[in-house]
Amino acid sequence: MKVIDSDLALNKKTSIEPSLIKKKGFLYYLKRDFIIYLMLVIPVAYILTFKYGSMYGIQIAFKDYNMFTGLSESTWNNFATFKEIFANPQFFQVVRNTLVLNGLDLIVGFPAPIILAILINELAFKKFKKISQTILYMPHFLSWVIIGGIVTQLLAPTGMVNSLITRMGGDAIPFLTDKLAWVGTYSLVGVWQSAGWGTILYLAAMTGIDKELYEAADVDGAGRLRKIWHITLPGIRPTIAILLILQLGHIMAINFDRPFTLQNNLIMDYGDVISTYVYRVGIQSANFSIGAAVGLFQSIICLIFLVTSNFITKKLGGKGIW
Amino acid sequence: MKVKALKSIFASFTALALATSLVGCQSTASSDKQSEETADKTTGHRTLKVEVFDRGKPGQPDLNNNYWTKYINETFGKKYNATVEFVPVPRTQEVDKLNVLMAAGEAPDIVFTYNQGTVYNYVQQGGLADLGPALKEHGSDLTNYLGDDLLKYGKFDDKQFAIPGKRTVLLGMNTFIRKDWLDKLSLPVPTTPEEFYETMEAFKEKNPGNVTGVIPFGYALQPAYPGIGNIPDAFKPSDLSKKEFATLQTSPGYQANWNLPGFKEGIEYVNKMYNDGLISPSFATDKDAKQLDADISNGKVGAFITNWDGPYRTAPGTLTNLKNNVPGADLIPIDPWKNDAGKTPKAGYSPNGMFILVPKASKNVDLAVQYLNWMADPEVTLFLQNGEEGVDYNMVDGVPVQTGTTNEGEKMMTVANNLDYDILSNGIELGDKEKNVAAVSAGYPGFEEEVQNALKVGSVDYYAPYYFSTPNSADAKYNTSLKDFSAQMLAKLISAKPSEVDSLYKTLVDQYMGQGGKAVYDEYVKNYNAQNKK
Amino acid sequence: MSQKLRNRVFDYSAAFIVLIAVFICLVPFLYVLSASLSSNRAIISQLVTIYPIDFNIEAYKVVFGDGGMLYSLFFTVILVLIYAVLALSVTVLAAYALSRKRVKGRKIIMLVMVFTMYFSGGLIPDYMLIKDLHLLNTPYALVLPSLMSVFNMIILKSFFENLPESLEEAAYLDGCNDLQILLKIMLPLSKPALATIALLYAVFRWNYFQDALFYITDENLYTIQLKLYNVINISQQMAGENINLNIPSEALKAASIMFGTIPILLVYPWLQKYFVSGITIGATKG
Repeated sequence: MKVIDSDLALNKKTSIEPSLIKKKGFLYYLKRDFIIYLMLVIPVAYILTFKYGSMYGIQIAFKDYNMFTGLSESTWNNFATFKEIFANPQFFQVVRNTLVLNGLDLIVGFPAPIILAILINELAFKKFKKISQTILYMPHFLSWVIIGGIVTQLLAPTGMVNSLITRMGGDAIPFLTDKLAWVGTYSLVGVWQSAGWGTILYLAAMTGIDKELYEAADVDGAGRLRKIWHITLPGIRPTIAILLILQLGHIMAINFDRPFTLQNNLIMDYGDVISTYVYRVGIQSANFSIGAAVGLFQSIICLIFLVTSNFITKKLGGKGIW
Repeated sequence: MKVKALKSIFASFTALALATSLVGCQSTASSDKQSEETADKTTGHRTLKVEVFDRGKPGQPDLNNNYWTKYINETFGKKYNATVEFVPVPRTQEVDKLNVLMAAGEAPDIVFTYNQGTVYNYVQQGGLADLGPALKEHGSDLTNYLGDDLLKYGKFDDKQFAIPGKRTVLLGMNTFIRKDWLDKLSLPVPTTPEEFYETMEAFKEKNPGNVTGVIPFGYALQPAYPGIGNIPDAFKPSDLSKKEFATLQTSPGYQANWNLPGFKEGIEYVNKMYNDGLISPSFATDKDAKQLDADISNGKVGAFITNWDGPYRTAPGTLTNLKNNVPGADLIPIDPWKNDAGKTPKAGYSPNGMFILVPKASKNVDLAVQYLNWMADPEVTLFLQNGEEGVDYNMVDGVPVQTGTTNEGEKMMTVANNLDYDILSNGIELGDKEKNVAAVSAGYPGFEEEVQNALKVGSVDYYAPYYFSTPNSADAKYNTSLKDFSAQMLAKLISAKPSEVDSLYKTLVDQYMGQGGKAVYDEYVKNYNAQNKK
Repeated sequence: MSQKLRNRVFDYSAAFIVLIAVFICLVPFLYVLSASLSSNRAIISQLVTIYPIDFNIEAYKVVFGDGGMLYSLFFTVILVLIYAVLALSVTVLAAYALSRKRVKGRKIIMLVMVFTMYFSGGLIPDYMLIKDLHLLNTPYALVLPSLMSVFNMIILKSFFENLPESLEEAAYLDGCNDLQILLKIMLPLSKPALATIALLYAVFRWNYFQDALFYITDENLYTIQLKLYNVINISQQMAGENINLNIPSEALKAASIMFGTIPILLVYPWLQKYFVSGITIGATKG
């Protein structure tokens, strides 16, 4: 057996123990990468203690949970909670809405921070660059309660924007009261709130791009746009890929505050999502089982998306999550 | 390198330990007292844990160590050989936190909530202590203070699982109108729905306030309270049978009752107003009524329906704002929703306030009841709600008037009349109905007379919801989603074309019934029949 | 058009677009700031736009005059600092270790960790766990349960994976062990990534109050956002109460928002020096 010792390939010094050279047992790897495994002790201990320590709680989705007698005393309900959820046509409506809104966030909201980051990166005026970065992510820090209030004040049928439009002779735009317009408003407000914050990761990635590449491109006479296309974008491609996979891996999950504060009674057909649905039906009536069951449903779908998109990425030659 | 890393980690832990010890220092003051007394086992000294709402008021004292907790421990504590320890729960998340505490068996001995659904849940899952026996043994004053008529609201399956707090003011909503606009147009105060409608039209046409975008009838569709106020009462038949009332008007007055006779006519009335351009154009997006408050404050609104004391409340202070923004403006409560018998019925609250509960796991059920019993003593109530006479308040015509010492520092009352500590009451309680009324208006400085008047107007033909001795399990299950759907129905119906209202109403109500509305109704009928067989 | 001119056009266009974005992002902030300096009447009447009406600093007097609020701010700042350092350290350990392709068991450990991103016990089991570990009502309950975010770890791992392998090879030749490689070579090169992850943790800890809500009853251990939550979100319509609640004025709410937001906004500018690129990668090519 020809042993291509990977360690030799790495030019790594190891104490070569003849008895172990052919056998590559578990102990061998433990010895070789001892420090690496040591590094993993704390993180793994953390995950096992604080994440898996309460993992038994998943059972709530499958039981008639009585919060006083506890989980072990609660009876298995033969998927009754799941049956109840799937029997409700409203559930499928909120699933559809969730997917649509998340899909829009992906199409509109995913590229926005990238473009913005590129623009900021290209800014020549240093001081402006610094200040603008800080200001651009300010919206991320405002809670949705506040943003919702501001948005309503601005975009209501008689809000500030429409008052301006009507004064100039136009027709009021139903930003919030028309179902389709609302979806657009939801998307754009989301972009506004998160784009600035999203640039941070990309800007950090851009600092890692070799400056010499730009210099070489200058010599070749490349213009700004070409440099962006051929150097900057490929340079942050790994970051884009990872974030895209992670975002796809959240396709069925949706934040609560944003839809909740932007919803109103005229657009619920399109605006009611899984998180607000669970809030009403589950949490408000202390029906923990429904919350747990829906959560489980979401998680499974999300995980499928994650695994799939990771797989596709690797097939396309990129580096996945694992 | 290794050493550096270790050093930084070590430093972090030291800092954390330092911070913890700093914090430890801060809280020893309050925990000292506790540790001293609970250590005393020989005399059977007990600790009673009581929940207290934390409203996050800037400058509020330590909720477990202030003038009021000291008084409670000096009087009740000494007498019953106990320490009363207060556990703060943030007001806005009280239901969530309470659920977690109850589930973990960590809840205080006395907890409370306004949310009836939560109470019902606890009863269903067997988490509450039956207070009946303890009440008989230790709760004579309490029973006298609350009365059986009020106590019955805390009974489930004939067992006393909750002690209801006593509401002082039971009024629901009032209708307010711009007096100065009426005067300007020489119009009389409207006393019927027809007159009201004509007044609204006149407001629109003549714009007595000379404002851009006049809104004769201000309205906001709030998902938390989806309804059209007192309007349906004008169309509800006066000869409605008791059974129909009990089974069809089951939602509180500020919410929709779709199958109640007269409700549809009420909807048509509002729909007509919308189509004639008489109500707030942004009503459907005004979820928290902020736009309505702004419009009223800016003088654009002619009339609106709100809580009986709405404009006089300190926050948002609409009447104050209005008077500042528009000199000469004034609001008065009116009573135009007259029915076929010439009466103006107004739905209000049942006499019960908060549900006070004792977890089944509590080891101090008797002590808890003793605590509440002690609190029912009128002298204790008077002190908790006002403080010390001559120092914190002065008696004026039998009504306590605050001196201002309870607005800050150790004596701060986090809410008027200190209701977070005097949990038995929901409003000032002087033991006498008339004195209470006089005292209530004292709580609105600057508007005492107006409030007295609003109380008077709001009390005309007040009626309480029907009392059911058995809770409705279907309602507990579907209430939130039905309420939400009601809000959607209202939005669609009010903004529909007048010719469509009839068929749309039928379609939507069918959907409502199909989503649980029928189950809820059937159970109400069943409960009514059972209750009235006796 | 000459290249220089095209560059100029590009520069000004880019600056213009960014300027608009900056303006849009600044306006809501100006609104809250103005509201904090305006009168209640003006705010409720929706007269405030981006400058104060009836200018007054009463709201700030109340906020800064509240000892409890200042203490909570101080406590939260210390907590955030300690937490960010600890969380970053743990994340670095995991991310670096898992980025080394030769490590056996890498995939399994990744799966175990990614699984927790999607599946968890829920509110009550989490609470019971903290209770059983005797961490309730201690500052540790605000640090340990959220010590490492798998999401952040994945991002950092991706950064480490994209550092050239030649670096590691060269270091082995020089006789370094894995820890030395991490500390002397990899970390200095990863400053922007580390700063970003630290920032993510800091912001998370600053804003997240749900854990303090359930695990903490001692007011001294409230994080600032929890303390402010009731001030900002309490409404006059508190279900069932139907009494004249003396709730904080709108101006006070706005001032509280400013109080709870400005400190964390200042972290990024402070960290910006770490966002400049480290040693050029080209150095190893020699």
